[in-house]
Amino acid sequence: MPDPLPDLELFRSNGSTVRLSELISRPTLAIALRHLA
Amino acid sequence: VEVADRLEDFRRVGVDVLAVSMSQPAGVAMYLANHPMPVPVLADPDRRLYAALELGRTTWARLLRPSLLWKYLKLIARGGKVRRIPEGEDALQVGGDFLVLPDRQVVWAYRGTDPTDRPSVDRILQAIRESIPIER
Repeated sequence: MPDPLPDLELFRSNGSTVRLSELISRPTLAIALRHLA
Repeated sequence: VEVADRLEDFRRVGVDVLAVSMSQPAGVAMYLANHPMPVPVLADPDRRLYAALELGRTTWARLLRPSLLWKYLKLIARGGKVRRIPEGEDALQVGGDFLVLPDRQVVWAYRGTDPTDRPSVDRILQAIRESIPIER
């Protein structure tokens, strides 16, 4: 099994930060967008 | 958009949905002000998550190949708009769809090869059913 994703910090739209571990408490479909459109 | 239209199908199988953009947080905020989305949209301007997900870049040759340009033309003919790439974003960055468990293991991945290369919602739901036990 590959390594898990690092517990990276992402930004909310208000500029605050949140870690992946806080975001993902259930199985989650994470969509990495090419561009907002 | 297709996923956003079928969020209930994802909730039914116990899966949350979130989106990540390479835009700056202010760019995400500006976009959401005009185009509210029913899922959280996070900003990853340094593309650290993109890198961790092993999402690479396409090439100009692939981006501008005739079949893809034809898709854009059909989109425009149907009333779609081709937006300018926001400043600071990488036109060649590809996106993808990933099923991530709470321990941050990626159990399914679909990495796009060009801007229009996305799995269908049915394909994603099938992958979910094959990858995790369904909560009932």
